[in-house]
Amino acid sequence: MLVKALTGSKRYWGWITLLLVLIGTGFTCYLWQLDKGLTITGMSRDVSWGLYISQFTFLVGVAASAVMVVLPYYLHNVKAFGRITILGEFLAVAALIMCLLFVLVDVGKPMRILNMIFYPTPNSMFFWDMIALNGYLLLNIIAGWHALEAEYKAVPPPAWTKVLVYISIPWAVSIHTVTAFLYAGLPGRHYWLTAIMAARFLASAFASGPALLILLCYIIKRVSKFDPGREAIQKLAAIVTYATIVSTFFIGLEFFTAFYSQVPAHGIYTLKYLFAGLDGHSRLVSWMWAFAILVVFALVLLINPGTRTRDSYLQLACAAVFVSMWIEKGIGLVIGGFVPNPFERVTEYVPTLPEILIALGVWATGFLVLTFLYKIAISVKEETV
Amino acid sequence: MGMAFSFFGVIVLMLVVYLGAGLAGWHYLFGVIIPYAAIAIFLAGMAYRVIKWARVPVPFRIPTTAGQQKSLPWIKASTFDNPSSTAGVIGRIALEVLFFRSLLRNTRMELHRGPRLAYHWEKWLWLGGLLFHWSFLIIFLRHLRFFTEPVPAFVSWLEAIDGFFRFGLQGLYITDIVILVAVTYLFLRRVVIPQVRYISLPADYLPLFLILGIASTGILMRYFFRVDITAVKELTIGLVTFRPRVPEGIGVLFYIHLFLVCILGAYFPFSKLVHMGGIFLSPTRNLPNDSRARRHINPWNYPVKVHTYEEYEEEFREKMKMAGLPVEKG
Repeated sequence: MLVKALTGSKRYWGWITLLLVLIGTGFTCYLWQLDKGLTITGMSRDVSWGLYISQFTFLVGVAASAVMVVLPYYLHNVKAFGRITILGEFLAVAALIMCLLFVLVDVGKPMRILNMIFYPTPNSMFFWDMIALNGYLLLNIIAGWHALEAEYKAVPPPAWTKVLVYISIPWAVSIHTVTAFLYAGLPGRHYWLTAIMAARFLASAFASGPALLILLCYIIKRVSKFDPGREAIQKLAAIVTYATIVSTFFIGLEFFTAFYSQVPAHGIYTLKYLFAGLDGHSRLVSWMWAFAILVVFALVLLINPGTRTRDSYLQLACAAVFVSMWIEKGIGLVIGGFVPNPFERVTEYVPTLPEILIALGVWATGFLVLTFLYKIAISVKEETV
Repeated sequence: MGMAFSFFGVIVLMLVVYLGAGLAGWHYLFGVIIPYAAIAIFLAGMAYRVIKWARVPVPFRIPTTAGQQKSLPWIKASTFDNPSSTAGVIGRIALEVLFFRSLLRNTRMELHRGPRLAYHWEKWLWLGGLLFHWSFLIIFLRHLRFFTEPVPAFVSWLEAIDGFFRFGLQGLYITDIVILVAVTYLFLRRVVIPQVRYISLPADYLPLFLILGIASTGILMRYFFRVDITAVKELTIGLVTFRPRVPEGIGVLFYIHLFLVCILGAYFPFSKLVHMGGIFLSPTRNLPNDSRARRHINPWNYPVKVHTYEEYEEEFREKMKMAGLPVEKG
């Protein structure tokens, strides 16, 4: 079955080559970072988590969103999702690999990373995040692969994989909850110290992940003979709609708490910095307004059934959801949380070029894994159609 | 039975070293004489086996077709699965040696309810074998640091990559963990699957236990009970420069490790391990399938006395004409 990933059209190999070039560039930059240390990134004393950790946070959401196809199919017998559960699980696998790589590149001395296992610290959220992420990765690889193999053999999957799937459902929630706790447990960072952090994370995850899955389904439909099915896409679109609404609502709640109470410890300065600029620093303002505009645009397209059920509008809406959630979580939330610093000063953060190239390299690695997994899955599906 | 025999065999070998090098102090025997003898047996044995195989005539191609043979230009031929040229053959052998391609295709027949026949891709033997062999190769190459001075750059590179992650202050070689896991899996597979267990002989268990013994003693020496590594290098450099000397104070663990390696090396040419050389000499792998393009004549065909039709007619033409039989020449 693995060999199916090694045969493909010229376009397929062109895409693989592009990814390999990006991976090569990123890896070269990473070797440089390994030599010089994190000093080649834009991170500083005041902003100690940058592009890497923000991408990690965003991608944990994408990974967790696999549950949005698995749960309806296995617990509510939504038959339409049967065709794409494997795609959801494999998307989670690729996203988790990116997550783990982003953590790895963010560590100054990655050679010591095994100390997490040799000297376990159960009082740290990082320790639990390691367990949650690696466990979820394994669950999805095993469950996804067995489901695919069963499809290949045209027999029902082994019964024990169903147990894994049931475990994976709460586990998906746990990965994003624990990741949110990494932030929500820090008393020194006002913007993150909010009880709805985990809820916000899950809501934005269930918007961005299924949005990406819808886009991937459209791509698959175009480049292969396999059709994920209109019903599945429309059901996903409904999920994206609800999740985007809830996610936007949660962000609104943050605004209310901060500005109505006028208590600085509710992240009021961060919100000002993000959306209006603070003390003359306004690097993220245009990004955050882009987020706001995109999310409104997406909601208009999604809530209106006339546009949601039209392929081209749905694609546009999903792209808008994905990009807006990426800006909100992958840029604003993590970087914004560091501004202002505990001394009430503003230190801005801009990623450096090698940092961006490394991040791109990690994204490319994830997409390479995703491409290979999807190629195998779709070849099998094409044969059994 | 075979398993117990092999297991206790390896234990006895270890005890021999413990008594000989540890208690009796025969360091020269275990550090110099036995290694030289083992290398001599290994080289002579391998040469014997390879020459013996090489002398066997293989006049005809043995196409083991796993793909389309080269025929008409508009039929897509399978370059590596059914090679028609030397380059294709090199590709096929390389894929076999480096990635165990034929093992990758291993399938198991399953009968499901229905009844429905399905073929399950057996990936674990392939994966376990691949991990084991690659780890072994990398560990072997890493050991070149003991036999060279200055140490070649590629060996240091390999060490740096393999030992990237740290265990305390020292590098934790990933291959050390992988080889233990892989060999343990390959052993368990033999024991747990009844059919495989039934066909397993002492000759199958012995190499497994030997390799497991070698890997464990090596790991113990590196991470837990350190031996005098400078003295070890003195000894190994002495061996390769043919000026053998045995420094004092190397732990007995090292001698156990070395002795098991010697046993493995000496046993190598006479066991199934010799597939290391044999794979390159497999006629089903190393011959291009060009039987349709070229005529292969058996070199040891003795001259067969033939009587062609022309000669026959020459001899009986008159009689044939008289009998009214048609003839070709008037």
